Amino acid sequence: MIIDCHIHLSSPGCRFIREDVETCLDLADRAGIDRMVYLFNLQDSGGYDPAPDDILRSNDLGMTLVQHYPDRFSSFCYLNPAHDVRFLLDEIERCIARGPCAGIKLWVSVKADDTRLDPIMERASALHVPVLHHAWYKATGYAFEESNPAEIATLARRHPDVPIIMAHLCGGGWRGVLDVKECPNVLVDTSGAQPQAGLVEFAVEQLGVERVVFGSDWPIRDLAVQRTRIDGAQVTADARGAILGGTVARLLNATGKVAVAP
Amino acid sequence: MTTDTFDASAWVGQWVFGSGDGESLDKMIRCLLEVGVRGAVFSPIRAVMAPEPMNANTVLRSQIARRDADEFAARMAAIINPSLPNWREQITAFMDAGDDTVVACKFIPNYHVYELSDPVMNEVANTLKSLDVPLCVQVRMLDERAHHPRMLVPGVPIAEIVEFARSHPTLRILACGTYQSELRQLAEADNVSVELSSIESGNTLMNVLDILPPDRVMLGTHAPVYYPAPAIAKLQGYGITPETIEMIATGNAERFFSQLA
Repeated sequence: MIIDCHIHLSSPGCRFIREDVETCLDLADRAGIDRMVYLFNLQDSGGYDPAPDDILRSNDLGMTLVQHYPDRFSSFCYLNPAHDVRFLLDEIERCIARGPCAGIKLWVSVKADDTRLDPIMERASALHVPVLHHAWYKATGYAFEESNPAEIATLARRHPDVPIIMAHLCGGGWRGVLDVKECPNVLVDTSGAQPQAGLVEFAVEQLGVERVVFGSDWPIRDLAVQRTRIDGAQVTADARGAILGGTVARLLNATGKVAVAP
Repeated sequence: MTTDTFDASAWVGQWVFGSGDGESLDKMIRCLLEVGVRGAVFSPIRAVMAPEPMNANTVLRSQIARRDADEFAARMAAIINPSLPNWREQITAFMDAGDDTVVACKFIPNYHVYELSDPVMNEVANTLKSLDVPLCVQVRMLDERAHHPRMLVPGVPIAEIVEFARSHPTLRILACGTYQSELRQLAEADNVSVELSSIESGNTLMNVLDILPPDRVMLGTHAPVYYPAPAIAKLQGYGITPETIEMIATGNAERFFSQLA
């Protein structure tokens, strides 16, 4: 089972457009990817600082995806921690507790080490779901309240019982891997950026194979190209299997929302 | 997928901001063979940061020339720094040698601190044309976001490449390390081709061919800075004919680097 833990849709108005979803599935089939985790819609989702309505629309799309293609898609509940706590908890209730979402997605609205994340993390812990958080080290400057891996590590230490998937291995780079090394609840996804040689091996060596997971960042990036980053890395076949789906399958299964064969 | 893939842009050596223990020519060839690449145009990576490129070029050319003929077609793009007073010597030392090892020149304007609009560049371009030497322009070595924070080197401006190309329409130019977002502007100059190493989007090859005709697109890996396998995956070409993929995988490079044929 090959699972891509990091995809988006880019649907105008956050509408469910079957043709676009079928294209995604065709590309996934060609890349040998069995299941994908939808995180949020790239268009009409309020940009860096989405409003509550933007959040609702993006999450509605994710839940519709799961409803139509339960064997191909999982969805995470996208949140903006700057919103009222009541809204955040209600949305988690709607999407995860009573809905099909299997995790939480956080992007650049609020820095990862901000205490406004605490209610979200506490609820994630209670529901046994992971949190996937964007992070990057950028020499060119950051977007809005974009987090870096050191800030993910701070969050992870404050909530050691919540699995945190830190997005973008090639964005955090070597320093990012080392930032989270001593946080056993942090995994790193391989999605996005250019395929800098050596980073997958470094991450496996420093974090252990169970803490590196495959993601693509489609449609910003190419499913087959991103997958091949793992295929082309100098790791064992067992490690490759864990990275490409085994670990995420266990994470998703632990939520009780899906039953995925590892 | 074709089994005759050719890499139009690869390197030998250790990228100073990367990890690893130095990538020799033999190791690079082994790595490329493992992913189905049967030939490549290499450049010496230490020439990117060197004060002059002659030594690095000489060493690599010797290494390639010493290889026995085998299943891998190793060729070279000599790094030329036209901002140095000896640019003519650089070109003639490598392009007049009468051997088929060196098939192109490669410029690195941003790291070598010059512009394609500099006054000397007309004469440089005319020299290349007189020798029928194709030109590779390395737009960037790495995603700018991943640069060392004390050494940010912006990419070569695409407008500069387009203007230079239009000024020399008979000069074959390969833009290396470009992004998808830069293709529409590069399309304005008919004599500019691109290689795929840094180009990526949701359906990479299809999206490239929406902008450029297939005869202006080549495979490039930018190895060893990048893993080579992802570049090969771009040839999967959802909805693209095998003939077109063959062109991109090898045919266009054969025509561009005419000594390969």
